[in-house]
This record gives sequence, C-alpha cells and structure tokens, in this order.
Amino acid sequence: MSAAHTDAHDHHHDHRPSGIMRWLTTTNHKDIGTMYLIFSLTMFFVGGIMALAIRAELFQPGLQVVNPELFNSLTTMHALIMIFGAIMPGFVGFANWLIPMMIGAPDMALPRMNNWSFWILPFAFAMLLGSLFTVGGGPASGWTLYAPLSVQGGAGVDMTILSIHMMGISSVLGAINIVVTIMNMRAPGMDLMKMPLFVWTWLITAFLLIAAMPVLAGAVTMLLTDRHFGTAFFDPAGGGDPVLFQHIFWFFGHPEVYILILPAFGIVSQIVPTFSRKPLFGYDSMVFATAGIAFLSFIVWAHHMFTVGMPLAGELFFMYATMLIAVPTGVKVFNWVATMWRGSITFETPMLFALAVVFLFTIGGLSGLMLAIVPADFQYHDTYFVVAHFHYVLFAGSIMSMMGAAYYWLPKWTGRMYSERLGKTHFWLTTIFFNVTFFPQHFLGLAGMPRRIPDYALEFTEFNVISSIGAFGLGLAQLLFVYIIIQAVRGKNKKATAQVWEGADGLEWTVESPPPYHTFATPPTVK
Amino acid sequence: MTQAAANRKSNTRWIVTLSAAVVLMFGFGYALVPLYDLFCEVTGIGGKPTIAKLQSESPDVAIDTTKQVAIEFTATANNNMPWTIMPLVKKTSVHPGEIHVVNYLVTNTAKTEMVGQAIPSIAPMQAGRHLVKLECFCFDNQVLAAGEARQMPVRFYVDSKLPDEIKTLTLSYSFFETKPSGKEGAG
Repeated sequence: MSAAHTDAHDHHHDHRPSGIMRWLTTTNHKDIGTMYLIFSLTMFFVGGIMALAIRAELFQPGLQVVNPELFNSLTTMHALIMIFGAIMPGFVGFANWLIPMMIGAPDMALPRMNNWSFWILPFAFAMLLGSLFTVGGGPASGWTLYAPLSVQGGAGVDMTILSIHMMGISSVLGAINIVVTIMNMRAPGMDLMKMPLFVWTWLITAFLLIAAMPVLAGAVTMLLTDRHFGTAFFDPAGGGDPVLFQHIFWFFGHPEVYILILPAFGIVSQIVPTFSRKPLFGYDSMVFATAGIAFLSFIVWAHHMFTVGMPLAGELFFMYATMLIAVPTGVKVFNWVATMWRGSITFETPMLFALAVVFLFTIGGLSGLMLAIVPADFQYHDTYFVVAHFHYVLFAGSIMSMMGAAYYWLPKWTGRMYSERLGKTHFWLTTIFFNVTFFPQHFLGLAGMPRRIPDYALEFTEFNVISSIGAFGLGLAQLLFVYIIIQAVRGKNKKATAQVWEGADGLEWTVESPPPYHTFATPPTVK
Repeated sequence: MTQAAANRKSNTRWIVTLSAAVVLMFGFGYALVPLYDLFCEVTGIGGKPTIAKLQSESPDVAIDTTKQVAIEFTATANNNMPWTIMPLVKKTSVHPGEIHVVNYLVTNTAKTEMVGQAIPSIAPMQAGRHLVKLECFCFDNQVLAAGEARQMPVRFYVDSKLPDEIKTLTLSYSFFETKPSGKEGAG
C-alpha cells in the first residue's frame, strides 16, 4: 500500500503556494486540520487567561483585581471562547486530520468550503474580543445571553451576536462537510458499521450541529431585532416573554453540550483499545448509545430551567428524561471498562488522559444526575456546584480528551515521538491541578455560593483560595503542553514508525509517519 | 458517468438536503414562538389572567359563598420608568363567582407625556386561567400627561374551578414604557 502512496505523492507534486498564501488558500484537510488545532490552542489560552483573571478576583472576598462589570464580561467571554473557540474548533481540527485518513478518503468532500469554514473563525473571534473595547464593554449577561439583560447593553452585545452568527455558519458548514465526506468518500469495503468510533461520533455530532446551531442563530437574531428593529419577542411590553428566550436557547443549548462531548467519547474509544491491546468491547452498542444520547439531547432542555417556573408534569418529564441519558452514557463507560478488562494495558500519556477522562467525566456525570433531581436542583441552581459539574464534563471530558488525542496522533502527524517523560508530567500536573481547582467548587456550591458574582461571603474564603491556587497551577501546566508539542514538531525526538503504537489499529496507522501531503489518492481496500 | 461525476452528483444531493435542514431548523426556532404561546394558552401556565370572552356583567357561574379566596395586589414600574403605581387595596377576600373591582393609582412623575403598558402576572401560575378579567387598564396602552395621576380599575372574578388548595393568589402588574403605536396589549 505504501507504494501506491508514493506514486500518488509524485503525481501531485504538491502544487501549493509558499508562505502565508499556502495557509490562506489551502484546501488540504491536513493543513486545515492543523490550522483548526492551532486556533483552538490559541483560544484555549485566551479563554484561560480570562479564567485566571476570574480566579484572581475570587482569591479573596471583596473586590481587588477587576471591577464587577469587567468580571461579568470575563465570565461571559471565557465561556463563549472556550465553547466556540477552543472545544468546537479543536474537535473539528481532529475531524479534518483524521476522518479522511480513517475512512480511506483522499481529502474532505468539500475542500474549498473547508477552507472557508476555518477562515471565518479568526474574524468571528476578533469581533467577539473586540467587543471588550467598545463603550459599555463586552457582553456581560453570561454566555446564555438571557433576555431581558441581553436586550440591554451597548454595541458590544451586537458584536457578540454577529460573531455568534459567524461561528454558527462556520460550524454548520464544517458539519455539512463532515456528513458528506463520511457518506460519500469511504473507501470500498468501509461499511458504516466498520467505521472507527471517532468517525461515528463525529457523524452524529455533525447532525446535532446541523439541527441545533440554526436554532441558536434564530434566538440571537430575535435578540438583535428586539434590540434594534422594534420586534418584541422577549419584551413583555410588546407581548413577548423573556422565558421564551430561555426555552429557545436551551433547545439549542442542550444538544450543544453533546456536540462538545460526543467527539471526546469517540477519542476515548480509539485510545483505550490501543493501549489495552484489545478491540473495543461492544462496538454496536457504542454506536447505538451515541445515537441514543443524541436523540435524548433534544427532549431534556428545560432541566436548565427548573427554577424558572414550570408545571409539575413538565418538571417530572424533564427530570426523568434527563436521568434516562445516564443509561446510554453508562453503557459507554461500561464498554470502556470492559475493553480494558484482561487487556495487556500500558500507560502511555494518551492512555493516562483517556483513563482520566473516563474517571473524571463519570464524576461530572454523577453531579449531573444530582442536578437533574428537581428538588435538589432548586438548591443547586446557579451555584458553584453547577460550575464544578460542567468543568468536570467539559474540561476533564472534552479538553483532556483532546490532550490525549494530541499525544496519541502527534507522532503520526509529525513523524516524531513526543517526550514521554514530559507528557506524563503534563498529565499529572493537569489532572492534579484540575481537581484542586474544581473539586472544592462542589462544596462551595452546596454551601450556597452563587456563580458569576465577583465577591462572596467570608465563610467561602478557604475553598476559593484552594481553587484559585489550583487554577494558576493548571494554567501554568499548559505551557508545558505547548513546549512538548513544539519539541515534537521541530523533529529532534525519536522517529515514529507508521503504526506508532503497538496496539494501534485503523487505516491512519497504515500510512507512514508523517503522512504524505496527499494520502489515499488510490483508495485502500478494507477487509 | 465517471466515478468522480457520480460522487459530485451525490455530494450535491447531500448538500441540498442538509442545507434544507439548516433552513428548516432556523425556521423551527421562530416556530417555537407561536408554539410557546399556544402551549401556555392551552395549559394555562403562562401566569396570565384570562380575559372574559363576553364582557358581560355577570359571570355564568353562581357565586359560591362556601369558599373564600384571598387576593393580594401588587404593582411596579419596570426599570427606570418614572411612574408610580399603587393598588388602593392591598388585599381582599372574594367568593368564587363574585365580581370585584380594585383601583390602582397611577402617576406619571416625569415632565413629559408618556405611554405605558401594564403586563399582568399571577402567582401561583396555575391560578392564571381561573382569574377572569372583565375590564383592565392592561387591555390598552395608557397615556399620562406630565405629572398626571389617574385611578385605573380592574374588574374581575375568580371562577369556581379554582383548585381548592389555592387559598391565596397574587395579581401583579408591571408597567413598561412603550411607544404610542398600536402595539397590542396583553391579557
């Protein structure tokens, strides 16, 4: 097979411009994947710096570092940047790099659109960040942009709304591209039920994006027309209702949280079998569980709104439907554990990250179940318990899965191994400081500390001090991550083989490391 | 047809289908607006009082003297709107079916003429459909000249289907500043 690739390589002669024009005009899935990943990492640091400003303010009670208006902007921007700038583009980057290589396709189905999907993003985020410098500051309503608060505010809110439109266009185009690629570009013999789980989870995620992002676009468009064009969707004086915004927002918002986690499930399902040296346990049930989670995500949105006011029947319905999600999620956790059962496991950095994801995500899942209980949620709503919960699923789930994925596929992409010693150091620093940061927030929330407030009562001081120290440790540890990546990219380390990992299985491991610019110009045959 | 052409054709089909789904879901976001209103109306959980269809003098139910319901009145002006609004009675007790009138004193403290729209809300929200209004200042925009004060009445009854466990209900109004255009009032 490698002979075929060399041929293809020679025929193409890599007609690409050099310098910046290569990156502006590229339609190559590997180049675009790289750009997405670099963009995601950059945004991870931008959002991370905002998180550190928040934690610096919360280090002590009282107001020291930032004023309350800026604090509100920082919490809002931190969330928007991490969700739309770090996690989503990060997963799209992995999808770009890996889906064509995993299904034996030469590239994405719609390469020019792929280029455009990416290049919208820097402009969207330049506008979002620019809102901080307008009169009245950035958006300060929380990332949920609840009306009527978001109907107020200055030009910064309009810039946020328009940047959300652009992010939405980018991710919907990306999703369409991924669906078309998976449906039409699979190598002969690559049946749907033979696809690697990462491809499956991305296919389902892409459908979620196509269904959910336009609803968000609609919601923020309504906000925009309410603000400037005399409509009254959310203004009671004109016959509207602010609670309506919450329903529309969360109708998007809950599928969104699965958009943020399903690709992580796919990554874990690739890494765990490799380092257990066993095929994935329960492949079919994994696929059906993913589809089940995706379906359920559309009928549970109002569990974000238990305290807003709802009839008892509604609260019961959304409570039970939410708890039902624990079933397919439990199937997944069971399958990962069963994959490891009696495997000959080794603990390289990607495996450590995958194990931490399984363990810590499950903690986040359990606190999610607690939040699903209506009477308990009346106590937990809008407290730090919620903050702890979603950082366990989003940081320990999504972000740490991407770190694991970066270590797992970096040797394939760069042709060089990363430093295992430094990788493990990065893993332990990240995991320990993550828990130091976020575990105490459970206690703060149970004791009643509200989220999104720059000041707090004196009895919350100790846990906040611990949390802030953890946050700075967590932030600094990520500099090591950048160093490790640069070291591997610069090619001073040990050369990686084509298979890289002893137990790795899949088409991407059949091409050499680093892969040629064009892979699978002749489709491979899948048995 | 070459393989590439076949691929292109089937790509187009997927792109068209998926783009249609995107447009459809964007529309669905907007469709949620009337659906939401309909849902609140059908289930009566919007916390909005019912407007009597026929503004007749007497309700079609007999007065049930065996039951008594306490009703509390409260009102505010939204945000920085320079109006004061005050119910002349804070609390009263009525029998189901009995028509009751309560007056609010509304004052425009601004130096200009202003238009206000009152939005009602009822707690607990299940009681919303059982409070029937025959007349209300919230049915229309209210125009007050600079410094003008006016008494504004609400005429209502509580229907006999009010669940027994609800002993007290609160009727609250928020006044919003609005333009004198023909924006429709809320029930």
